Amino acid sequence: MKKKDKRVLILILLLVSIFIYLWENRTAQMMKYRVTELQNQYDKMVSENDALRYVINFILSADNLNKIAKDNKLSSPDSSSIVEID
Amino acid sequence: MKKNNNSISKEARRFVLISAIILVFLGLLVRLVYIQIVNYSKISRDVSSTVNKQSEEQAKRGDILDSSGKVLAESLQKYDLSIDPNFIRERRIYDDVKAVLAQNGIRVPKANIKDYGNTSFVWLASGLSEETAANIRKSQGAAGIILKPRFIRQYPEGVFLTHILGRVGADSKGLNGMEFVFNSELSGEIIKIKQYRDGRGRLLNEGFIDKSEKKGHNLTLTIDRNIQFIVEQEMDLAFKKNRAKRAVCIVQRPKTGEILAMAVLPEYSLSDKIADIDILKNFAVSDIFEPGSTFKIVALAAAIEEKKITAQDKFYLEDGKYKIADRIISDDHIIMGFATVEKIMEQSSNIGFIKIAYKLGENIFYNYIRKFGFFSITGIELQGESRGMLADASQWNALSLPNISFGQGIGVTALQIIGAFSAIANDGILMQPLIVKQIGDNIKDYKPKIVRRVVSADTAKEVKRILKAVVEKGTGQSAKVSQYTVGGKTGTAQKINTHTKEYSKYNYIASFCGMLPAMEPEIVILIVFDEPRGDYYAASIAAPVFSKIAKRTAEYLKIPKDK
Repeated sequence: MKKKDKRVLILILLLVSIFIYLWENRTAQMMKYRVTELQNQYDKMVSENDALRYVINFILSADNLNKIAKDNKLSSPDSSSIVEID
Repeated sequence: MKKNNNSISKEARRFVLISAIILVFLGLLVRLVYIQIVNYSKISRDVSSTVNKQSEEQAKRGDILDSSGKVLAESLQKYDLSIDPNFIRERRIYDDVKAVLAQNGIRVPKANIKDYGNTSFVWLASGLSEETAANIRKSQGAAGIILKPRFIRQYPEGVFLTHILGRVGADSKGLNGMEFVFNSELSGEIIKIKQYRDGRGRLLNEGFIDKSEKKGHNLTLTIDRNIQFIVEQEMDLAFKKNRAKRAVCIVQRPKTGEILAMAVLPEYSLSDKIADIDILKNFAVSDIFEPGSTFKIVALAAAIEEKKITAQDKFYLEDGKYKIADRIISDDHIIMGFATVEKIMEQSSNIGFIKIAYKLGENIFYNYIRKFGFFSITGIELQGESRGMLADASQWNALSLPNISFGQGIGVTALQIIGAFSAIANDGILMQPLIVKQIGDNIKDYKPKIVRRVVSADTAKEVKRILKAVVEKGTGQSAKVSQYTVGGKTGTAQKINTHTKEYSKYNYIASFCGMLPAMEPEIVILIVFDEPRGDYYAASIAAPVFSKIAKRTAEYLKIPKDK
C-alpha cells in the first residue's frame, strides 16, 4: 500500500472511531432521558395503583358495607332459612 | 525585481497566516491541557457539585393486615407543596405561580411576593394527591413551586382497632400500638437516588430504582376484620347504653391462643389530635382491676384438681352472711342452708367459695393463681402490658384468702382473665396469647405456644360442665345463645374508692367470660364494663352482649350448632 493511502486509511479509521464514540455517548444520554421518563411513569403508576387500592379497601370496609346494607334495608336472614351447601 | 518582491510578500503573508493559525491552535491546545489535565480534579469537583444531586427518600411503610389479608393500615404517597419566594421574585413570575396554584385549589397567603421576605422556602399545602401534583408539574409557570413526596398513613376501615393499630407521627415513625412495637419491621429502607442535571437543568436518574423492593415488611395480625367489626358494633351500642367509663371485649381461640378480636372503648380517631393521653392506653392489657366472680374459676378448678372437692360436695352457706375477722361477707343470691359446689357456682355464692378456698389453703391456692397466668406477663406483642397485682401468700392476712377466692383483693388484666378461661376451654392447657401471625412473607411466623398444663383434662371437663350449668340455670342465663351450648361466669365487682380506700357503693366492674360450644369450645369471649351507670349487674349488661357477639361470631365462623 502506498504511504499516502495508509495515511488516508488511518484518518478514516480515526474519524469513524470518533463518530462511533460520539454516537454512543448520544445514545447513552438519550437512554438516560428514557430511563428517567420510565422511572417517573412507573412511580406514578405505583402511586395511582396504591390510591386505587385504598379506594377499593375503603369501599369494601366493614363499616361501608354495613352502611350499604342499611341503606338498602337489608337484614340478616333467620338462621333457620340458611342452607349451607358444601 | 518587482515580480520577486510580490512573491516574497505572498510568501510572507502565507507564513504569517499559517503561523497565526498554528499559534491559535497551540493556544487552544495549551488551554485544553490546562483544563483537562492540570485543573481536572478541581473543575470536576465544581461541576459535580452543581450537576450531580444525591437525595434520600424513605421507602413506603409496610401494611398492617388482618388474618385474611384485608388491609387495616397502609401508606399513600401524597405531596407537600412549597414555593421558593427568592427564585420567584428574581424571575418575576409570581402571577403565573398564583394562577397555577389557584387552578388546583390552593390559595396563596400573600398578594405580593415581597411580603414573604427574604426566604427560599414557604410551605403552602400538604396531602396533595398524585393527580394534583402531576397537574401542577405540567402547568406552564410552575417554576419556583416545589413538590415533596411524603407517605401518609391511611386506615381504610376508619375508626377501627385503634388501640391495637396505634398511629404514626409526621415523620412516619410509630408512636403507639403495633405501629410502634413493629416500627423497624414496618419501616421501609432509605432509598438513595443519584441524579444529575442536563444542560437545561432537567434532573436525570443515574439508573432505574424499583422502590417497591425497598418497601417495609407487611404485618399480618391474628385479628379477623369481620369479627372485630361485630365486636365493635355490639360493644359500641352497649357502651353508649350503659354509659360506662371504659369497656373491653376480647375474642380468643382457646386451642391456639389467637386473638380474633380486641375492642377497647372509648375509641379515638387515628388522624385526630389527642386531647387526653389516657385514651391511648389499651385497657385490655395495661389496666388492672378486681375481677369479681369470674375469678372463682381458679379456686373451683384448683380444688377439683387437688381432689379437695367434687361437684356434688355440699357446703353450709351461713344463710347468706359470714363473719370473718371484722368483716361480714354476704351473698347477693342468698341460698339458705347447704348447697352443692355446682349450685354454689351457679348462684355465685361468695361464702361458698370462701369455704372451697379454705380447703385448698393459702399456698396451694396461690400456686394455682400463678399457674393460671395471673400476676405474670403473657408476652403478647402489645405495649404497656401490666403484670397485675397480687401479694405473696406469706403476706396474706385473715381476709386475703376469702377475698381473693371471689375475685377481690387481687388485680388482674382482661387478657389474664380470658387466658384462664381459655386454659379451661383448652382441656387445662394455658396458651400464650397471640396477636401477630406473620411479619412479611417469610421473615417471621408466629406459631401457637403452650405455656404450661394448669389442670388435667378431666378437671377442665368438670369445670366446663359446671360453667355450662351457670348459663343454663344460674346467673349467666342471659348469656344463652340459640342453637349453641354456652359455659361461662358473670362477675360484678365493687371498685375501691381511691379517696376513702373503701369499696364503693356506686362504681362497679361488670364482666362476663364465656365459651362456646360449652364442652368443646371453639371461641372464648370476655366482656368487661368499667363503671356502668344505672344497672351494674353483669347478668344484665355484660352477659346479653356476650350472647349477641357469640351468636354472630359463631355463625360467621361456621361453628357447628350443638343444640
